[in-house]
Amino acid sequence: MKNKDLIPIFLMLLWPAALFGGAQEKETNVNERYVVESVALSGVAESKISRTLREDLQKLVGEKYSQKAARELARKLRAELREYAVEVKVKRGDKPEHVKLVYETERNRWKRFEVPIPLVVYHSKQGFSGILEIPIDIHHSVFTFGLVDDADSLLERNAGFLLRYENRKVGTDMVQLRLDFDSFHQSFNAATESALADRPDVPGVYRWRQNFAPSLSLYPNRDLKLSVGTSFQRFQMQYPSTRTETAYAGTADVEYRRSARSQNGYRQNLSAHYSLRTATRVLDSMHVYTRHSVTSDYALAKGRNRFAARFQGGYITGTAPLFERFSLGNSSTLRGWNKFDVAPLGGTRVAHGTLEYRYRWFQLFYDVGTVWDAGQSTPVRHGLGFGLATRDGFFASLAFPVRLHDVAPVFMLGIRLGIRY
Amino acid sequence: MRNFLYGILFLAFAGILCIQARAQTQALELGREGDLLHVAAPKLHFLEGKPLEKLHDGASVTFVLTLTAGAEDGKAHYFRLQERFVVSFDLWEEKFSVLRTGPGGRSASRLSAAMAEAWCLENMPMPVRVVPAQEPFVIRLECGIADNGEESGGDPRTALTLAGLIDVFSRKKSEAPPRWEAAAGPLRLQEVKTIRRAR
Repeated sequence: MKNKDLIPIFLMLLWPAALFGGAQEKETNVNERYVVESVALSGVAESKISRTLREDLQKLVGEKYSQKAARELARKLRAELREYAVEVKVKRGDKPEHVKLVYETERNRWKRFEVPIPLVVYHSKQGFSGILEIPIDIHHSVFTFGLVDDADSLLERNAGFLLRYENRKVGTDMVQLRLDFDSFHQSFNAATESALADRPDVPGVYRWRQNFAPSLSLYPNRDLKLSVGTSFQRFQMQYPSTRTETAYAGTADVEYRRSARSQNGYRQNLSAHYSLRTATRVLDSMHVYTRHSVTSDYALAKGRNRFAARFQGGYITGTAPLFERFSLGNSSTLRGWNKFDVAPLGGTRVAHGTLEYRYRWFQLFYDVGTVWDAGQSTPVRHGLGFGLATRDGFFASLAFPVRLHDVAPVFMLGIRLGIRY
Repeated sequence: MRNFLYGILFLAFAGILCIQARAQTQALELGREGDLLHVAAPKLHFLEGKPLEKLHDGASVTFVLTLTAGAEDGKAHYFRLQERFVVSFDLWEEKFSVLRTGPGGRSASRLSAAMAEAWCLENMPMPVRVVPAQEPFVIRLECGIADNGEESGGDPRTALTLAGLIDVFSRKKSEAPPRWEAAAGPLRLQEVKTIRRAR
């Protein structure tokens, strides 16, 4: 046999060794040589997960442990159990050279209903707004201290602090107790102050405002949150003389959120929120009014494309203070408009809609809405814009009011915490 | 009032970032063996705390070790070496295994925690020629944990860098990955002890 004939034979002999070497390289976890003895789910009933996923979990039994496969199933569990934290732990099995897999889950019902809070927002016509919250999480109790300087959400600029206590398991994790205390100093835009001169029916500006709001929330199922509570607000009116007034209200909220993922890759999210605040003489309130507000969001996504629609509506009966009145024209409503141009005193009626399309980070949006008082007519306004928005809350956008004159763009930048769609 | 609030906000941000970035610096020992410089850090233990808990739970943890040599004043950088070591804990033998990834990857098994840590450093030799013969130099070792995305899959806030910042303030806190540091010097090449390591 010639020497060159030996080369293919030599290579053939090396082939299994090369394969073995490759397999060795891939095995980064020494426990991957052990066989899976059992797979268990803790903290949640198996009936909560799909049959397909249950079967996939059980398919691991009898196979060599694969860290990659175990993590992939943990990811699928997280996707199905949206309000649960999931961790995979590998334990020594009862039989030698065997391991047990335990998927540990912890329920966080509140996580599903976290309210989007603007963390830092810059609006080129309204300036900076910022909220810093520092939560201290001790078992089921969360104490939060926050600093606020916010001109985005209301007609007023609030500067002050907030304190919050939440007990996320009052006997059962279906019931949550929450106590809020806010103390703010207000400053008002000159447009609001001058508009008040023509509207004696609208309560005036105030220097400071304090709110104490205890509430109890119930989570009857994974998609629904019901809350009832009270809100005791005191504020110091400035005109015609300095005096403290009160708005003591009963509150009720119903929130619904549902997410679905279809087999063909479509992801859908639907959420709706109805809020009722009624300030009444029964609670010894000086202002008497009832405020209804409803918002709903729908998002449809596939791959990197995402379409979203949002609706907001509300109306107030009685005489509500300025902080309860609706306004449009901030970093999330009627973008492109300045709320003090739209309605410097806000209104007791509001209707607003948003359509948004996103491809990766790029977004296009269209806002339409109007805010008015009973018996008055105001034009419906439109805003168009584009920008960048990441899934983790950062956004930078340029929006334009749709009108024939003074089409000055509004630039907005910020980070907003919220639920990812 | 507004400026005061922004001041507090800024200080709080800066304070939290400083706390997150804080890393304890330990002493690094340097030895010369032929044409190579070897580092050792007997007091630096990265197989501890949360990473160790994860290892005991059967997961593997990837440590990224970075070794740099530079001038005393920090203006000149002579050498930088970064290696990734995948560590896992054998649940039956209760010993550690380490794999150095990348080309020419090596592995070792049945190691104690201290031996596994030392093995990683032994596999980061530095050529003698990269440091100046006469000038003083400083050697730094940084050790961090690579994000393998394991826990970020379900929680959108922990997946991205920006989300990491947000996580600091979010309710369900995700702790910043631990970092360890060690340093030696300033010293000159003549001052480096010659060592003879067991093969």
